[in-house]
Amino acid sequence: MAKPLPTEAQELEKRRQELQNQPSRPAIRICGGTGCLALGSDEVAAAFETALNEQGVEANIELKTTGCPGFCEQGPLLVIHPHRILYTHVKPKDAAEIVAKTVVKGEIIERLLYEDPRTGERIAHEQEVPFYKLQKRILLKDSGVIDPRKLEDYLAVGGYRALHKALFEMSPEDIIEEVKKSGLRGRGGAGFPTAVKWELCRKSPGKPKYIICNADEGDPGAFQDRGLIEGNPHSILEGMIIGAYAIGAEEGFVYIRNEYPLAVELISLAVKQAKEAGLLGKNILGSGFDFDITIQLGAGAFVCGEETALMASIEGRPGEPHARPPYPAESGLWGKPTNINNTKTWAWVPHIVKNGGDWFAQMGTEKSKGTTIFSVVGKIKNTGLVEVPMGISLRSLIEDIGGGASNGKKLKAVQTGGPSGGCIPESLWHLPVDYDSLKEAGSMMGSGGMIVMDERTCMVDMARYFLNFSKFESCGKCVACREGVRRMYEILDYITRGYGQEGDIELLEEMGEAIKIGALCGLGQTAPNPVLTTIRYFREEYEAHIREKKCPAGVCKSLITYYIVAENCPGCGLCARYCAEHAITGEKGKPYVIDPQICGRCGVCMDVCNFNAVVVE
Amino acid sequence: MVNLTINEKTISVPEGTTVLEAAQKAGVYIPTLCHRPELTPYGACRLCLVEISRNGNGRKTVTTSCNMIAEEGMSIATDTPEVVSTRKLMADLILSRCPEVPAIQRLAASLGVDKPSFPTDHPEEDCILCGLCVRACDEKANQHLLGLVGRAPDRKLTTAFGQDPGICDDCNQCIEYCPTGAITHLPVPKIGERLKAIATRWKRARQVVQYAALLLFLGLIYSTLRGELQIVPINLFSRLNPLQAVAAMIGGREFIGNYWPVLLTIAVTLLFGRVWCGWFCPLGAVLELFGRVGRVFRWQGFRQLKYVILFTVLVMAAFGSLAYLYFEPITIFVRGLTAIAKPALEYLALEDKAEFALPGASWWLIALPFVLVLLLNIVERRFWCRYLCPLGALVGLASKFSWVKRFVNQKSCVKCGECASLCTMGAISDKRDFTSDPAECIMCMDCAAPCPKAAITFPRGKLVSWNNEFDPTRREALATLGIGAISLGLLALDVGKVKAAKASVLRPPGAQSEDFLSKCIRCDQCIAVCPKKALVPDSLDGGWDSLWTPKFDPFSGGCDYECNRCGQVCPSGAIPPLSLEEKRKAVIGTAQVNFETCVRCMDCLQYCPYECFEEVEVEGLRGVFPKVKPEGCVGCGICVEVCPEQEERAIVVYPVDSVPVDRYITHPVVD
Repeated sequence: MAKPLPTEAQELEKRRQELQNQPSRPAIRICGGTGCLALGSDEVAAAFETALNEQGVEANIELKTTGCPGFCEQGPLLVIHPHRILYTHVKPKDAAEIVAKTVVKGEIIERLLYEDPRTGERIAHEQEVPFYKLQKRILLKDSGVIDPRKLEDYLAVGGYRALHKALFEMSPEDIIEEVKKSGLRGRGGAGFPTAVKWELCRKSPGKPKYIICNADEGDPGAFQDRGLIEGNPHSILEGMIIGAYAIGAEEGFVYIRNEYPLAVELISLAVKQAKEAGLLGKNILGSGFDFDITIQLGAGAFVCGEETALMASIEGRPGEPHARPPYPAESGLWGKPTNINNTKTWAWVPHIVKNGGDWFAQMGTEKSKGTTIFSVVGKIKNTGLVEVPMGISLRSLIEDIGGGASNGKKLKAVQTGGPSGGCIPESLWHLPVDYDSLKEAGSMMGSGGMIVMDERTCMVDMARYFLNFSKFESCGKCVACREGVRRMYEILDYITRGYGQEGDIELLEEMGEAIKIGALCGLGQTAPNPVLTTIRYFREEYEAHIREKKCPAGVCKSLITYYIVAENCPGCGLCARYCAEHAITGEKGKPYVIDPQICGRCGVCMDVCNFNAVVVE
Repeated sequence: MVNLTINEKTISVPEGTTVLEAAQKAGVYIPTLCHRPELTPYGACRLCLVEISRNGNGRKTVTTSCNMIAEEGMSIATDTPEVVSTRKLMADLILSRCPEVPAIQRLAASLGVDKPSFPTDHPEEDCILCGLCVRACDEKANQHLLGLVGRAPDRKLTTAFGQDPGICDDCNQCIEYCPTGAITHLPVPKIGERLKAIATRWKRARQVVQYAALLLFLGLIYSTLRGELQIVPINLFSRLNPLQAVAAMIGGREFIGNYWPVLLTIAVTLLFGRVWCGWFCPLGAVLELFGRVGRVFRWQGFRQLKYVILFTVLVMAAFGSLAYLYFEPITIFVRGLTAIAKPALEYLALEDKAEFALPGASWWLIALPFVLVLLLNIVERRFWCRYLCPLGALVGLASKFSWVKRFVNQKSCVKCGECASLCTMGAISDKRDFTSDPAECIMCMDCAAPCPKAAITFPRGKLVSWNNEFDPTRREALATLGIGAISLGLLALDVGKVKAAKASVLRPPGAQSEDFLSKCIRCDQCIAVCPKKALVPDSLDGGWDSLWTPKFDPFSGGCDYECNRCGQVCPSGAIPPLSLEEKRKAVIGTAQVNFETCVRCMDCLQYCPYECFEEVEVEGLRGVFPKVKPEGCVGCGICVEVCPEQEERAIVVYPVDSVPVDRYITHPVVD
């Protein structure tokens, strides 16, 4: 580069140098993500502040509230640097002890350590915990380390380095070329090659061009975008600025759902900080490139995650999709060329620019490169946010990282891709996690939600649940989705209530296939997936519901009866105490009895029974 | 230009053409529901799905054709099993939402769905949320008032915040686009209310006029029966009646000025069509009260029968016989009412009810057509008006030239059939896009307000309207000739005995002319008005063409010396409107005393207002008898009336030229 760097860019580098040269201090990092916040991490942080003050060590110790490190199951989480001692389930009352022992003296408090449920061993350091050990954390690397409220923290870990490189060392074409080399595919679920999309938009005539970050993450049980924004909002902004530069866009939008108050607050703050630092707005870092970002809040419609509906929503119209073509790259927001990518896709951009496309392409499988973030939830031990390389087997993800079944029951299936995805049975868990394998199995990557189910999950009921979601979230524009999904839901509802008829399964299959073909947008096209895959893999459960009027998993209330096996019941009376309907009667010391007429089929008796005396059929 | 293949047919279309348009150009049918060429494609109904594969790309995708722009090298298949079955499910889903909307039923049936597969809690639902109205409001009316609100479970069509903007009813452009008619059933905004209100106002106006006409008619009949003729247009409905007028003038070979009000009817008909039947005809008002609406009777083609009847009436009138005015609606109604009301009033007026004697069969027979018309009405409402009424046929023919006609906006009509199911005339044809033959439509306007598309109006139309559903055809002309010939044959047979019998019938005062039967319209108002029951309906005594004409029968009562009402009520002048003086001199016949049965009470002599009896002695008989003087007797029959009842009364009134020769020699009694 012959041209001297503009002063603004030089100043930023200088500032980064200063930040990085600061002597590192021992640090207490408390997770301030939504999950830990809900478990009271803000109170824990306050308690630590008091404890540090009281013990007079506040000057030497850095106290940080960070984004989500992912291990939500064990929250509130606390990590003490430099040794990365991980304390789980931390309460405010533990603060003084931790400061006194661990921070000041370096002693480890055994009872707060993570206990590996499989070995029973207590693990002291974060990096040794299997949950973290097996992950490949790149996007999430700095989540849980930096304070998402501080631009300085991001700069210190090398943030906006990639932007610097993009603006001053690369041409837009170079960037697109690099992304192309990386083989990055859209992380929103469909897996469209990102570089192709960018190129289309760049070449598309029309000014101004827009870019959008789709952070309207509405799947039940998915929270990767939230975790990423709450952990490291600037990484997304940096990706968007680089993307805008590559595409030639002047304005960007972050479309984020209003139900994520913390994420909204943090990304808004990040935008404000970036503007103040000259990273957004006119003449970014003195490069002459102008770009600005607006935060747009979604109003709670799942369908607005669909790109055309999302754009309609930004324009102020009802969030309803329209047919493509024209694709957003030709005619998007207000009819202008628009590029829309998922939060995680944008977050990848700085890494690819910084490390090169080849580095990215090393990871993952032949067709699905890189790593991806999953929110793994359900009946497993370690629910949380994980980042794994593409191609890892489902079993490894669920059993090794997820820790297997949470309650000793047998795991049965995993639902990927939320209401649009399908169920993959345990027998197929050898499948690698990538776009194509999951699609092959009838499911999809989706944005990365993963719900694990055990043998006490009724697949018919589960399909019904997801269809109910799709039914309510369908925008109602096209017949296939509005009427078709509703009718499929009605049939499933009948089946779970014991009114299923012969031929219902075939009808559901027929309708599902037709709706997949006939629906206008992705929501409708994928809505039958939960039904189709459960029929494909768990047909016998449907047949049991319809023919025998039985729910094998013991979930569908109309089809089950709870009763007490007299031989096993010592007559402790615990179940009778818990029963809200007072359906269980008996004498202490003698077997109790459940009156099926009164029984509300809640199952609490079964859960509390210590003798496995309560069974359901 | 862009080249693509549709069902393996290559076609070249301009750039920017949608696949749907290209298919239409290629003559390939693709079903649509939420699409109109002039509005932005929406892609909601999913019926226009096609399978598309692009050049060099084996991937086949199914997508909507309405909003897919044709691309070079595209290959379209509109009838793959996948497309067909998906379309079928979509149709089924739409039908299951709105199972009772005929337009949807038809569309679904055309795609192989005869009945909905899914139950619905709201079978009355008729909005399919296709968004056509919204687009019409945005793009055609530029008002941007309508919108589809809410997500799938509670999506509905309404305005911003559910507030009625108040101007919707002035524009109404959206109505035309609604494929089901739901647009006028919205809780908010009220669309089409104004149009419906106008239509309802007209309907109410008609009903007021119609029932007023019926009441007036009944009132006039009552006055006639009471003999109160001070109300000037006592025979108004006859005089307004073009069929009576034309037939009587043709039959009587003279211009009858009394029928001048007919000009009003003709003018109104030429302006507004068959309003006579829908607005004014009292018989129609009665027939509208019961019976099945719509088309029930299998042989609708028999509607042309009324033209046969009309032409036969006219042909026969041309040959001098008005016999077929049996089929004239006003006379049917008058006769029917007379037959029932006259004995009834008589009974009520009697102090000693035991004195009441029921009239004979020939009296009741005059009500037969009326009863038949009422009975036929059970088959179909206004059966008479549809198939038989010659007056309806006459005004119907004129209606083909009327200024105002019923009009159905075909762009808007969704063929729901609501109008046809309400039409009292069954004039609306589902096979002819719910248009109607102006000769059948009686302009009752009952169909306009219920039309969910406000598509029915009554504008000034083109003046001549042929090629309608029930236009008289050559067959009807032949049938007319046939019936005319048979009737003429019957008339020609009318020699000898029948002619003599005819000549033996006494007619009302002043109506002795040869052409009485060519002028009498068989309305029997004279019979109704006659205070003494001297006039009775003829049975077949005078031949079939004399049936129900008035016969002077002094055995029931003589001609009242103080009454000339029969001439006053006769609309056609068959009974001349004589003054009382003239009537008293009008000769009906001549009375003759049968001396063999005479009881010599001399009441006749005493009561004869003309003092034309003399006392005579009869050779061979003992005693003094009354005898009619040859001069002075007009045959008023008062003598017959007072002649004591026995097996055969002693005095008979004979037609003037057929008085039997007196076998007895009499001598005046000399005091």
